[in-house]
Amino acid sequence: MRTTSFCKAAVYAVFLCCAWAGAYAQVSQSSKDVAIDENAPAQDLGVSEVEGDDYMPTRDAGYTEIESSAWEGKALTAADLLSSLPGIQAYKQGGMGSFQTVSIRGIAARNILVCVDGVPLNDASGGAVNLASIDLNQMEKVEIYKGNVPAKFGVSGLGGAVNFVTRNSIRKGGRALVAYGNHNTWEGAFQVAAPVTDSIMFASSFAARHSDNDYEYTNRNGTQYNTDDDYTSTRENAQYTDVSGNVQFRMLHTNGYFSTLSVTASRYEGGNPGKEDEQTKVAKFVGESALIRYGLESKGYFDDALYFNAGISARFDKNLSSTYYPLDHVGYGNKNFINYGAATYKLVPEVSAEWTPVERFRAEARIAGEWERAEARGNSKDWALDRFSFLTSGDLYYQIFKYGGIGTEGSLQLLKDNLDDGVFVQPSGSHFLEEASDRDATLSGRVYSRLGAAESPLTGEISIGRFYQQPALMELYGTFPGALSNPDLKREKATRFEASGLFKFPGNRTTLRAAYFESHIEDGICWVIMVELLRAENIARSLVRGAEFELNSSPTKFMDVVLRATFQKTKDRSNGSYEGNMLPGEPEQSYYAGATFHLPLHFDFSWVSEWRSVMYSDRANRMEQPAVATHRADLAYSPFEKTRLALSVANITDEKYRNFYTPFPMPGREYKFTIIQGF
Amino acid sequence: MKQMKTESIVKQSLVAFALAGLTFGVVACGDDSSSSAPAEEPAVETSLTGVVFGSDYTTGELRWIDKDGKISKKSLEFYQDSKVMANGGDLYVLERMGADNISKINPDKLESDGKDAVVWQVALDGGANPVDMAFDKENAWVALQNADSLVKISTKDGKISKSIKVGKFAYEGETSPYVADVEVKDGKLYVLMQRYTMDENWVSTYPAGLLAIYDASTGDFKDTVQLKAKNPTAMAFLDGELYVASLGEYNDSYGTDADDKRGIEKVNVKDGKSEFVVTGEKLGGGVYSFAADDGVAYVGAYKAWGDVPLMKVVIKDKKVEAIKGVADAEGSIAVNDGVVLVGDRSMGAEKVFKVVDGEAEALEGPEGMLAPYSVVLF
Repeated sequence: MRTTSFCKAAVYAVFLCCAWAGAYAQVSQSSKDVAIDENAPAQDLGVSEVEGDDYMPTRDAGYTEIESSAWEGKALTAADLLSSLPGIQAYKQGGMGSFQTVSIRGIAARNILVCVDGVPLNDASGGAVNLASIDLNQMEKVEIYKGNVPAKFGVSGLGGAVNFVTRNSIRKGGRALVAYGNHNTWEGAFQVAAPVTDSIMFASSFAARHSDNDYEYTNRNGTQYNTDDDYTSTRENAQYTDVSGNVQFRMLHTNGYFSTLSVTASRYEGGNPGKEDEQTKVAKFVGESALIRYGLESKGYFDDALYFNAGISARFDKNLSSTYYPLDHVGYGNKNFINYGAATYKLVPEVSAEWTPVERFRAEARIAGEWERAEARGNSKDWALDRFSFLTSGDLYYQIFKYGGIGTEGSLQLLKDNLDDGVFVQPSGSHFLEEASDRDATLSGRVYSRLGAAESPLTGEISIGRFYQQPALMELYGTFPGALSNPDLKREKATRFEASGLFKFPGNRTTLRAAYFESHIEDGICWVIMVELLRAENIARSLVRGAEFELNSSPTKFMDVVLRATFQKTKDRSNGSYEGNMLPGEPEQSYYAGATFHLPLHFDFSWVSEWRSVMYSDRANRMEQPAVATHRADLAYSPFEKTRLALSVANITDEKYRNFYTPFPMPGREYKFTIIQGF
Repeated sequence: MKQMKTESIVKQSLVAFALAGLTFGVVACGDDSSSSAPAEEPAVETSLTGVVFGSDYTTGELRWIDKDGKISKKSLEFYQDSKVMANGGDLYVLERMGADNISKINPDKLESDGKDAVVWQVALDGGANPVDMAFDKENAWVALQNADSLVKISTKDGKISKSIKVGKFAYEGETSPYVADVEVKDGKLYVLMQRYTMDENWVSTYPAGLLAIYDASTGDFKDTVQLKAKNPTAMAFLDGELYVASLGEYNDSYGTDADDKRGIEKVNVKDGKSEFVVTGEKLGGGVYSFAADDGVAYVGAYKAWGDVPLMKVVIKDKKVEAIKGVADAEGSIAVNDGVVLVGDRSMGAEKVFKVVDGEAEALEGPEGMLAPYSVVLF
């Protein structure tokens, strides 16, 4: 491991310096030694405060919003961005386009709901959503719900949701972005929003990315106990390209209603490079998706106490992976070109309402239907699975008195699965199920109490909830080659407790957030291999306890500081070999320290240092990922009001550690130069 | 091995590729006994009883068993589904598909020296997938399940000195005959081949298994014997006779049927004929894991997913008897001088058993030990 005590010390030093700066800021503000623009945002690292209205406090203590200024011009992936927040851990397998996910407060990535504009990307496969296929250049902001999945998303899941919000047609203007980095990495994006008529706004965007991902790495030749045969290799067949586009119309109707029609499409394609000592030649993956969404927002009724929303969205995804064993050596021997995949269709009609009859009371309700269909693609045998869901969810909150209120939210999910024509045929062609298993109704709920008035310097929230997540279609019916069906899979369950607080230091220049979280997970689904065949089983039980802290401060108008820390204990409570182990991908500690300096001559410089403790990539805790410190620097120059040039260097110390069991080389240090022109 | 979604689909497909391979290439999972002629075995001089290789198909660990039958608390990591072989007092680890190498280990130094007990470790061709070794004096023949050849290595340094091309026995369109097991006996090298093929829908076709015979010294081809059953998994010599065990084809539920299309067959090498001694009717299914010694064979009879009971077969009497206590004997079987070691991979109750008087007794092992995948006795 290349992490040195120097790096560790550097992180601590930055952390302590920033903490001191933050504390000093309070003194300055209280003594009024330093002139402060009271209207300036608390900080400028892209994370926005979520304010309540005059009476009601912040809507959700577990909610964070990240704006595009946090990532534009920086060498950050979606997983990098999210994991900069406390309580969120990232998993990455390589450079641009390689598989990456995040977990939130110890809840595994497969149980995190990931949406684009409110439409879930999670699908019939049941696996974690790959964040690598999300191009941040298309996004305006990211909404992160750490505690629970809010009612507007259906409250279906064990907890935690991430919603990527695309650039929309609300604000007039546009921008163009081009970027270039090492390994022939380039990005381009163009967005425009303009009025078509007085009542119709048009917006469109297009973005593309590419990387050769041809970085060098040490090839251990598969022999971890023989270093004499190690040599330097260049990553092959790792190129990745994606393109995406969006068109949106937003119309104001004569009755005061708004309609929004949007069409989004994307395609990505990349080589599947294989392991370090067995690089592939032709193996690749391809994904295509399209989303059409129509939404209707009502005008306010009863003195703006009641609003209605309705919408329908249709989503299509197709994913294929292919390999040719004689060249790629992926899997075991097969003389044929294998092209395996699935297509999923999803149709979601929904209506929702927000009701605030009195100042103290707020209610939201949503009713949605969902049809999901998964079908074979590629050269596997035909199979098809359908799921019909009815889901209703709601959120009630009552501010009992100025300094406290109580709320509850819950959901009911009914679903029915169907096997195509009553007979389901696995790709391997020899397993038959005549009908799908019946699924129980799922009731999830959470109660919470919020303390502190909107203007209070100290606010908080405490909540406890019981959540469920139904197995995905392809987990139940094992459509993966070499996998068996398990129609008896139960729902995954979680009981979660959270308590959080926000303290605003006098002057509103510094805020401190703290949260405690605890989750008890039962019947977690894992893929188990027995007799060398794969089957999903409800075998995982785990316990997560932790605390997270975040200090935001702008001690002077020249500097913004963010300090974040996560402390957590995760424990596998399953019976058998893994009992007592740490959960995969969950370190006990992680720290983040970032500072942005607003320099003369329109320069901005920011530095971020992160450190995390040891973690393991597997349930057996044998795939150790040692403690590591990483550092990133960004220099931006804005010669004109709407022009920005940025140079970013990520992973400055070139950390490339990889465990013997995870031989997916990492790109190491990355450079990126970006030009952004607004109009 | 992994799972699917936008990319998750890619990952899961990859897992699937790998797993499907495992599924259909179940071949050599049966025989973990060293494949050498008894007369040529060096004297056994080790302080250990045997070793256990544990795997969860993500990582793998080597643990050792002391003379009191306790499994070591320490472990040495190797690639996920590695196989262990013993030759006298030497230990070999075959790191299979994905790592593709062979390590020679001094078992007596495992406890004290850890990774420094590795005498040598040599890489094989990518995707070769070593599955078995047959020892011949100071050399060993290595079966490469996914290659079109066998290689002969020196046990002193692991260097390859000779290879035999076996691709001509591959099923039509395939490059490898998928060797399951190799044995050396009386100067001859016996090579057991599955010869399956798989279409793009992962559906396998199994012709009857094939036994090829070579000169162990020169590698010259001698003869072949057509076997009765499909999907042979392992072979062993008992009282000078060669016995081959087979899994046969899978049924619609990925189990194997208790029928007469699989079992244990006795091979008459001289006449080039083979006949069943015990079939799946008595065993309850096909043979997944197999080891034999002193006229008795122990069989992991694969009935269905997770249901692989241990059966004792007295070859001479064709008598089959279930050994109580073992539910999933896919963790391999080793037999030596009347001692029987069995790896039980039962989910949540993974154990290594020693069979005593027809009863299985669990060995004492440390917490967190991975499910046994391959066991061997010294």
